[in-house]
Amino acid sequence: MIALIEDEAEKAEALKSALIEFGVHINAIEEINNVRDAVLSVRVSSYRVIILDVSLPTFSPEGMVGSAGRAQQQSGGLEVLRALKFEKRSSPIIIVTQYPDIVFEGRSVELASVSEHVKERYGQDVIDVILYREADPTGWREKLKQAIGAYV
Amino acid sequence: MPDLILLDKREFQNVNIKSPNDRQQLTKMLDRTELTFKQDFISELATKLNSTSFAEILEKTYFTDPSLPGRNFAETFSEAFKATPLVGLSQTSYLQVIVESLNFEIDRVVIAADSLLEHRKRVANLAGDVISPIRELVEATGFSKIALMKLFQLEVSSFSLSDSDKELRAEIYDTGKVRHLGDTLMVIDQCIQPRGRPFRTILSYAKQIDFGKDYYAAHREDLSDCFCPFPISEMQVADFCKYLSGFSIGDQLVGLSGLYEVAKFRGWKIAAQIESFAGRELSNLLTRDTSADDERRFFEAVLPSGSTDYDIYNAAIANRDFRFTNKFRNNADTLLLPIISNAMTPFSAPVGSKHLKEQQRSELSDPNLRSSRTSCEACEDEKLKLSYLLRMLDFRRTWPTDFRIEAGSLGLVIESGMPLHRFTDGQEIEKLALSADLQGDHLAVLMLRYLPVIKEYSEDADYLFLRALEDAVAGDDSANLVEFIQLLSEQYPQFATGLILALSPRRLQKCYRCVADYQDMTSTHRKLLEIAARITGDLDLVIQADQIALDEKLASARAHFDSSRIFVDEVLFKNWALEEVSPSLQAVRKHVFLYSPELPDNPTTDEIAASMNSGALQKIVNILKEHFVDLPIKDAFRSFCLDHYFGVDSFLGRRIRHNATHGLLLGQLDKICLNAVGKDPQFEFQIREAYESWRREYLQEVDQLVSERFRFKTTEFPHGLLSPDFENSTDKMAAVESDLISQTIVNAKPEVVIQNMVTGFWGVLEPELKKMRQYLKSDFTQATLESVDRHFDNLSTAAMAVAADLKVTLMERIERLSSWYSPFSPADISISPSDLAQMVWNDGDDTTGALKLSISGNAETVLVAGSNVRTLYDCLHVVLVNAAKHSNGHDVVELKFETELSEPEGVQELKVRIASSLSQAAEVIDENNKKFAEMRAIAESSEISKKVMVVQGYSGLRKLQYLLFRTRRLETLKLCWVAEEVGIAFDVPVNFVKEVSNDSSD
Repeated sequence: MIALIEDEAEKAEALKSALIEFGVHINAIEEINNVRDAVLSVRVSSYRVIILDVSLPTFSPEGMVGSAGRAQQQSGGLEVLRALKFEKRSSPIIIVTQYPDIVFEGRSVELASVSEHVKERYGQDVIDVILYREADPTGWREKLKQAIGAYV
Repeated sequence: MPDLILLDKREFQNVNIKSPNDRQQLTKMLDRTELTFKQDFISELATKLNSTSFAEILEKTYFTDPSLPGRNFAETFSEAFKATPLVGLSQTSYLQVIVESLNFEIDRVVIAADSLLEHRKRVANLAGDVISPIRELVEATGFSKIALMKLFQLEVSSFSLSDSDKELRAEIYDTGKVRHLGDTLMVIDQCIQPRGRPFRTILSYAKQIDFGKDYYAAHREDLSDCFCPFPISEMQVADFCKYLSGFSIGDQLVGLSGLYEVAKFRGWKIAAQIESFAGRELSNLLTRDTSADDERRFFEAVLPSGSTDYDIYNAAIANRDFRFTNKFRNNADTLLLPIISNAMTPFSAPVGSKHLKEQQRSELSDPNLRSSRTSCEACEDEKLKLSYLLRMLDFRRTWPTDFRIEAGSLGLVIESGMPLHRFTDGQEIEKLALSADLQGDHLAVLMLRYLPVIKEYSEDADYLFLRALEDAVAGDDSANLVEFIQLLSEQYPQFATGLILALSPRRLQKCYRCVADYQDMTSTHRKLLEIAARITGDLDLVIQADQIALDEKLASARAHFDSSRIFVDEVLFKNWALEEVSPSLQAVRKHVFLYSPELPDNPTTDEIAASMNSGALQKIVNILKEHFVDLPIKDAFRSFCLDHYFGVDSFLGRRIRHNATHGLLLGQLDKICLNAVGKDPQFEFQIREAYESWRREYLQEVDQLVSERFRFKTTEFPHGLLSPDFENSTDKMAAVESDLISQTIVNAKPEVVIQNMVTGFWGVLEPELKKMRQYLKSDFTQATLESVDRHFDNLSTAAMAVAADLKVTLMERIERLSSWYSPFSPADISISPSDLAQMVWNDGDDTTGALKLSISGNAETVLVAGSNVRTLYDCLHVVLVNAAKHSNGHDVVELKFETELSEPEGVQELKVRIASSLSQAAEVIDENNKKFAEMRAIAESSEISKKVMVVQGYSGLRKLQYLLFRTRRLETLKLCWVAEEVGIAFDVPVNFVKEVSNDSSD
């Protein structure tokens, strides 16, 4: 099972379509759109691969009446990595982000250094960090294809 | 020299280290070898001896003597130095070798150095020349911690120092303190204080070094783990006690004794106060020395084999703490206890009781403390706290490596108010938590995981704490988190209170198993605060809980406002459409019947569908498309989008919506900078400069966003993100078109057709709004974050922290802004005027700040609904924010809602009256007179122009006039100024509705 942790419906759909195109069966993709569900899932389930957007809201959009709770956590996805670490679980991770760096506990880390940082800080193996640009689907799709290749 | 080494090596090959003669030869070889190459030599020797420690090499080569069994390390060294001729090497070189080779094992180095110096003194009869070699040591080791430690060791040893030695020592010391203040403090901490050395010694150094002066200039890191710096002025005594409170009780006693000595030396009043309590007794009690050897032997026997010197050292310190405290408990005057209490108070008072903390903290300088009845009561309390601390220390002493404590005991200690988090380090907590977890003691795990999170913030500690909370709730059979803490509060009120205060919304939302969604989180937070308020009686908590209750109540209204930031004035649009579009519809319909006379007057949809395939109808459809879609619909859509008065363009967050976009994107950012500057004045200039340059650039971006991007794309605004053109190429547009044709043919009422047109137009606009959301979340966010990086690049850690905070806030704000740009959903909204006013007041937090809003009147609790609720919100926003901004001298803004209420429902006038202060003080009276005259002139003028509003935008009173003009109530606006009170009154027509259920709180 591959966990696709992404809150933006359009982006999730684009990633899912790409995964299917690369040979992943539709039933082997579990879509999760918020930090809470993601943390609770990784605590109890083992995934072949986790595709993780690091910028996530805490709760699902359905639980967001009152807009204050809809706010994105800049590094909400790191909660998932932290959960994996403390639950002593491990899954290969593909990080997908729209931003040029990721903030780890108040410190910006460039995408090129994210794998090393995640390994050191959370003990998780990051297969690849993909910069997602809607305007340039070829770039991220190619990287995703290469990253997921060994796990399909 | 290399030849010598080679020669030595060759000789070395033939040495039999078991032979005494050969060992002597080896000694000579070693002594002859130049220091630079000695390490190579030793390395060879180590290989030969299968040993890696120089100490072992020395023991095995120089000093092992089967005739003297059981010698300890110090004796061995001492003997060794006696037997060593010290040929060829300076004493400094020997010391350097020792220091380096023993891997800085402090105790061993000190022992070895002691032996060497004692030997030299004996051999050379240099009774008056002790300091000189130490000076060499200090210089050779670069004023290292070890060298300084040695200096202090000598100070308290049996050497008698000559005057010249004392001068030398002072000189060395002065150099050391200048170069390595942190190390110097650490040496005092590690070497003297824990070993119970006379405090006069500490103080003599403390006075020389003038700790306080340097403390404030030094980095916190330099001082970590150091003993408390003494105050240099009486003003700093309170700070000193606060700082002291973070240490063990043994340290606190030492600190108090030190404070007494310093105060006496400097002639401070506090000295007399301390002396009157205990003074000498305290000082004498603590200056009793004990045998370090006895202590070491004890812990060597007690601790598991394999324990390092460091383990033994730590155990000894813990034991010292225990003994200090125990002696103190048995001997000290109980009246001294309040002093300890004061030192500990900032952390030991009931959580949330700020007033009590301040009161107890100030008691230290209260000369009447002794006679205070409260203090006597406090004595009993402190005795209890001490007994729990002793119990803890006793546990640690008895089972230093296998210490476990159950929830019951832990709870009692926490309930005693003991600042446990100050006494236990991270490793110990981890060990205890794992042990409790193995026992299935979830509550103990929770209590232990709670300790680090109140000490300092850490993401990992937070995770473990919240996980422990989830487990505790699940393991307690409680229905939910609130129930669990409610039950907990009955047994452990202090702990429950601390737990509640630790559960900030940020933490609560990460309590994943206990909190399902956002509403659940806010509701849980409110209920927990209510529990804490009941326990502590803290009014602040009640206010916080009430505020959350209000927010919960307003959640749906707030969501409605947020998700409807852009809209069309439907009433005006429909009026326009009836006038402009309906005639076209009727004209087109006539054509339908010209071409299809077989259709009945009012054909049903089925009838139309049945004839859909006929060529005649297709012709009709084509005509309709040509005449109806291309002209009226496109015109209608452009008006829907662009009309300056009622179109979407007028509501794009820039004019009528009270500068909401700027407010959202720029609000609170200054606070982030100011807070950082306050915390870290050292980097004030750097942070300010970076922030200000970034803010200038960001403001330009926001201005550009609002004035150019958040627009419909026209020749005037070529960079607009939205398109006002109705193209029937998309599915949604085709669907709108088809619907309108069908409705026209079936002769639907024009109002119905136009209503459907409005719905269809929002559907057409949705992809455009999505583009806008995407633009904000990707391009704009990326550009903004990159600009933060650019301006804060390569700056201090403090500045980088500001950059990170800015990024988090910006992402949250931009995300929220993007949520505004969604199709208008005309959801039902009903809200009381007072709640609406409160919402406006909260939204204007930057302005309303510390002011209070007082609401009264007979329409305070009725519900209003409909589109004029938005107008009312806007009117209230203008007047409340302005009243808050210009209010001076008074701290209350009064708002009154009145209505006839002749009918419980329906559209009625809501009369709004607002009053705030305008000072008549002599120095501002002229200015205020002028200000009021300007207001009156504005109010009396009727120069309200749609064009001005659209092109320039209005603010303040002008905006209120415009809003009233839109609702045709401009003439109701009145101003008055009586005494110091300025009043503004106006009417707004609103739709009153019956209250169904107004209470979402339970």
